[in-house]
Amino acid sequence: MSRAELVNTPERPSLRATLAELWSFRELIIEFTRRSIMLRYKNSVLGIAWSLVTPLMMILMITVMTKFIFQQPIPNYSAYLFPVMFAWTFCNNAIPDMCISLLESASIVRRSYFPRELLPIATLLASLLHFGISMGLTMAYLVLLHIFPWQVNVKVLLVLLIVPANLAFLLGVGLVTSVLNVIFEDIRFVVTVVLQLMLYAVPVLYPIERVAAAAPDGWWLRLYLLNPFASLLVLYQKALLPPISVKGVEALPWSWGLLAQTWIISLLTLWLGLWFFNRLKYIAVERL
Amino acid sequence: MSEPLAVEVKAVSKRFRIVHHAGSLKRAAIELVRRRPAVELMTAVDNLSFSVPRGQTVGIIGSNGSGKSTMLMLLAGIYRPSQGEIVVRGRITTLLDLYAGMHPDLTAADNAILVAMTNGLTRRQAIDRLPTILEFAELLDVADQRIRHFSAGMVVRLGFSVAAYCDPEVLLVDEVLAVGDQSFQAKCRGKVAEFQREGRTIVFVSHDLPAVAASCERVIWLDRSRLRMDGPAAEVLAAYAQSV
Repeated sequence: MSRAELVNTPERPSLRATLAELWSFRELIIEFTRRSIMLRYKNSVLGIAWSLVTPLMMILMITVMTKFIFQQPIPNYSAYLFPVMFAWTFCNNAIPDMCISLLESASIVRRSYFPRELLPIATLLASLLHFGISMGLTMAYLVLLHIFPWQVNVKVLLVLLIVPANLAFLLGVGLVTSVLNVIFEDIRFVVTVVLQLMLYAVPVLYPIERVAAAAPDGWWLRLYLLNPFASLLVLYQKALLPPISVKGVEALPWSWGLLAQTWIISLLTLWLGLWFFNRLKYIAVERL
Repeated sequence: MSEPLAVEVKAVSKRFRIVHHAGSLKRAAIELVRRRPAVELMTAVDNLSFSVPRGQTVGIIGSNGSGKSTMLMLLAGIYRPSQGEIVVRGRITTLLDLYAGMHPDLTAADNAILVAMTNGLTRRQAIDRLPTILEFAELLDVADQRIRHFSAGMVVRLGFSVAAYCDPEVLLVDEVLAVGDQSFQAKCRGKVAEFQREGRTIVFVSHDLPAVAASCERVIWLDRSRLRMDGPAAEVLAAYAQSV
């Protein structure tokens, strides 16, 4: 992990060199991930157990709401909400955490050298752990309700194709916002507001089939799905749950095209994030 | 070939952009409307050249704002120079302030592992050396306590011990060693002497002139971002003492 020779010039390191360096620091990425998890639960008695409590509370709350407060379109409707809810929570937690990751670690950044990309990456991995726990609990709950695995099949494995795209997209956004947030500390408030508004542009509070029904020729849906947040959530839903038709609208099928489109947009976002971060990281460190 | 060079600094300048809107979009907008120059340049290091052969201990002295700390951060690779080139050969270990990047809410052991890893140790190596590090720091019994409540002396002991056991080939130290108590300072001096015998390179920024005189063979004197004098410790320190 050490550099045998440091050559420090005004020249910006190439993206390729940065990536190679990141790879050589992979062990430190894991250590920073551990640190980020330890710091999150630093003053709590339950510690890491809190990462179970929060999703369990959400499961309970949504079950109660859909069972007793709102009219359910289908039996066990709440169960169908969880994968989307938790995927959204993942995005919604990871981005603000990544956004402040550089600023928050100013002391160690100013006192030692390591590739700065490491901080948003480690923060994202810590969020991924929580996402994994939430999804595990959801699966257990679906088993309890006899929805899983009887009505679900091997397409659950498609999640393995969705998660990397999701990570790439989030990291791209996280890299851009974290380096900008050092230069303008307003950015984290902008991020919070945008994510709050984004909740209405993703199929969490309403099923995607409603969007499909809004315009018959489907262009509205295509436009809607250009938003990676929305397309990722749709992909999770279609991979994890049996097709359900809501209020007479035919359920949208799993779409490989949508997966491909989401991958392309996510990789472009990641590339943009890496490029942008690489351009601004030294300027940001001077401002820390 | 004579003694290989551990550090080469070739015509290096570092200019910082002093930004008046300092981290706020609102201020940035106001400055834009007022048409004031949003950015001014401040030269911290001006056309500096020197080199350090392997195994030498060099002190950098100068008044506040003379560019000493900036120079050290350039050597560590934390800042990028505005002009010139820096080459450092060998594993760099940094000890740039009291906390050395340690987090107050992590335990002494966790902090030691993380900082050791940022200095180039693998996790395995860091865990293996942890008992030695904590013993040298005289903190074995508080290894699992968060360092938030440690005294400044305890923190600096930990920081120094981690750096000392990271196998530094080039050790960059900024003004921290004066904090520990007498007996620990003696231990530090012993460790530094050991490093010198082992042929490790040390660059040491300090205001503590007696400490510089005691451990450095050569001293570089920076004055308002420029090189004022570079030579044997005794000569430079005498000239510095006269000018102040």
